[in-house]
Amino acid sequence: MAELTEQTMQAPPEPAIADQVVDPAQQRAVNAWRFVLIGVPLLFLVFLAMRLYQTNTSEQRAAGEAPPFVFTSFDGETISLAELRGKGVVLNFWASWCDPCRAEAELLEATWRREQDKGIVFIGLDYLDQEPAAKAYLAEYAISYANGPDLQSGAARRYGIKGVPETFFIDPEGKIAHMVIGPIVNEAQFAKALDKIRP
Amino acid sequence: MKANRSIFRWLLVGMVVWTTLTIWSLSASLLHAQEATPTAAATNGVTADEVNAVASELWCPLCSGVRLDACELKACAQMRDLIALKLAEGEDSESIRAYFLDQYGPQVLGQPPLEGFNWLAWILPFVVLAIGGYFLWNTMRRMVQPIPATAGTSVASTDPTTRKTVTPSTPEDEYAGKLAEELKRYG
Repeated sequence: MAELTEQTMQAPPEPAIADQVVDPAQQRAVNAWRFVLIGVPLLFLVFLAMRLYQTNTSEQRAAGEAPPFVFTSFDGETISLAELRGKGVVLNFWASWCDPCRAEAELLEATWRREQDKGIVFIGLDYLDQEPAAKAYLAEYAISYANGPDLQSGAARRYGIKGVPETFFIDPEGKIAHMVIGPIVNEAQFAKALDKIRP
Repeated sequence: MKANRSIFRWLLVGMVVWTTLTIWSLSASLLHAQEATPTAAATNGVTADEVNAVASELWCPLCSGVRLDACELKACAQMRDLIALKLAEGEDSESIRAYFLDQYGPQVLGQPPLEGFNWLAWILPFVVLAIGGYFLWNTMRRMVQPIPATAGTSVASTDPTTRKTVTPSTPEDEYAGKLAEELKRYG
């Protein structure tokens, strides 16, 4: 402290005064650096939080109102969920490379044959699959209900599936009444779910 | 000094281990790519190399960060079979890419498409580079430019012999000025 006072006393007056006057250019530079060092990381964090929040909400499985979708079946038929109001819809996500899907394939087809005249519609959406292998799979299990590729995984994303198989039971009002993650293992489980969506 | 040397030695060992592991994992993934022999390719007269050439440009839509030629999933094997089938039918790699994009979405291309929020991923590095470059250039320019006599208040010092404020223009002058000032301060 003593040194400092001595120094100020010895220093000529002009520089001492100039020392206290802040150079505007320097102040601008300081402000700019402050913005870069604090503002940019802060901006980045805000964007990151926003994106994480969005991802989090979009990764939840669909509930309530069933998200609409339109697809073209392997037979060339265009089917829209919106047109199936008034019917119970069993929406099954599957793939030919998925082994657990094979465990439920026969049960799905047998149930469809039994229920098709009772106001229930079965839809199979093929998830990230290859057409030749998918068609071979459908032929292998003699699957006769509407099946088609879920192009660019549009429906899979909207329904928030985490893998295959996943089955959504949509009631005649278009609400998701039940879902089964993984293969449907037995008829009793299937019947219980179907009872929730009968017209 | 001894501690310093041992830290340095461990650092060196760590770097060697890390480099070895990196090279090993890289060569392992390369080997996988070479081993990938689609069954359909053989039947259609399309070689595995031709299939892998297309597959290596695509990314497995079910994995994260795995190229289609190095992916071991059943789904990927089926995708390579499909590529072989399409090559045998006379399709070129561009139309196969378009087909994959149509079927599985932009994640097979391994780069975000230029739309919406994704623009940021493309632009931000260049924006940051430009801003950083500007500041660097500006700072360096300020560092090398001669200090004007009126603004050089902090570096200017008093010459003890003449009692005049001198503005150092060269490092030697600055050093001499500082030396003189400090000598004066400490007697």
